[in-house]
Amino acid sequence: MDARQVFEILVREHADMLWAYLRAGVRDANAVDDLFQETLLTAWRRLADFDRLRPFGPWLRGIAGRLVLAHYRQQARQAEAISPAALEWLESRFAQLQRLDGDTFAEKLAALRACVDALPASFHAPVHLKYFEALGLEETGRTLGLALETVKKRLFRARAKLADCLERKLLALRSSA
Amino acid sequence: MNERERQDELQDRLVDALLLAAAGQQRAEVETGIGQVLQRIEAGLDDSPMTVLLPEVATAEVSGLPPRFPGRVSRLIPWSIAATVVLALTLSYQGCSPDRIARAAVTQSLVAAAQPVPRHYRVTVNRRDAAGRTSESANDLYVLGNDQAVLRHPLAGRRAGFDLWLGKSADSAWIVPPFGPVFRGDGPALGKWLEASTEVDTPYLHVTTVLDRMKRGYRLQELPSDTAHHAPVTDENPVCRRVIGHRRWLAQQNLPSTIELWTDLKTGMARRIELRWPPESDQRGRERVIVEWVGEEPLAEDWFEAAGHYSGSRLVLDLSDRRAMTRDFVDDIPVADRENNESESGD
Repeated sequence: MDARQVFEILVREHADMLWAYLRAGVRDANAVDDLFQETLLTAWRRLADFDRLRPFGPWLRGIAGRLVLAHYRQQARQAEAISPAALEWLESRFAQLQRLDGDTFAEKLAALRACVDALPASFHAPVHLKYFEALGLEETGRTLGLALETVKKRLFRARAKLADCLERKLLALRSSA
Repeated sequence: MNERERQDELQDRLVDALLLAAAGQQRAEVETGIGQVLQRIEAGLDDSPMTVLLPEVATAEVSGLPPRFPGRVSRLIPWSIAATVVLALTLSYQGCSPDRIARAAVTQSLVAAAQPVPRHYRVTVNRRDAAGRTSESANDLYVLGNDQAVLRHPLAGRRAGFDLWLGKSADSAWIVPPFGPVFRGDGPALGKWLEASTEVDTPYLHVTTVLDRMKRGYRLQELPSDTAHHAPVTDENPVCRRVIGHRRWLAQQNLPSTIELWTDLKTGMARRIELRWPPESDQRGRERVIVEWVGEEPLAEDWFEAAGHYSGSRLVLDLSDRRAMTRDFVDDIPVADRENNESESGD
């Protein structure tokens, strides 16, 4: 097995997590795709720097974080820029998520799915339709008989509830650790 | 925006990203991104550092595990799979578990299967009919890389001695019956046609598809190394790494209950895949499908195209045509005759 094959295996193992990290750190969805690829290429070029006794995921996110900061510097959109402290906060959350049970990132997100299942029906329905049925906002509104603005507000509030729920689960994980 | 609002927004984006990932909405973008990056690397557009990431993995026959690995792990795992152990340990800082080793082996095999090398597999299908009688059919599967595959399916009954050819690439699929028109369409159309067919009992497989499903929908477990044919070790029958996957309960119930994989220790190439359905299953009576590697052989340039499997001119029909979907093969045998034919053939 050559280095490229090993690299591919490592990348496939961590790609979903990396994408979610970038998606959380960058508003522009198109930029997420570019940064995702740039992170992988940078990781490939700097493979020799990787300490193989340490986990690959945080190393990959470290590269991604630096590229995100560089992205905002180049864009000169300081108003939208994410701060190093915010990236650090994100990294701490992903580090905790990585410790959850499960082989894949999707499996590790079982905690979040449990939080979704526990949402009150009025919040569960728009979350389910938008994320798990991949409906657009307008279609979600039509399906539920809600105005577009109402859908947006419910989704925002639902995500706030999910954030609280997930935070409690991660806190429990930290306590048990 | 004040600091509190920024934090709320960041938290909102985090949950949004996690929900998308939990729902798998990012999969296409992620796969596209990985594919493009790997293409650039393969094309040499991005030079790798001269240092190999894991020197132990570059050569499968390592002399031993690095001294920092826990003694318990090194005692449990045969030296022959040391390379995978190194890999698995790198994949996680949560420690080395056998299922992660198994997962790494399947991933390695998937990588090997995706290489653009023409490979020939024998596909043996064991079926059971309503009366409990068993039958066996032998098919040939030719694969090239990640998305090209051709299956030769020998027909039974009055068409015994003739072959049906099925082919699929990334964006199209085709069927070449022994007589009559050729069908063309896309992958889903081919799948529907196969579902409607009473004459084709072979699941349409691509090695990468099976391995990908195994990786995603099965609980993986490493088994002791063995040869693919349970026979003495020879150059042609080397010791293989073995992994068995048990279908997760959330996976589609029509998938095999277990998939067992034998992979080449050095290359990761799948040498044998055995798919089993539970006895109570009625998936067209399929009990077992064995996919065995035959060899890597040069194939005609048009082998993965429909035109490579018939001569002369034939009518080409759209697979998504509803009329085509209702016919098994378009050789204009009336349905009544076909039913007689099936009863004659004992299927």
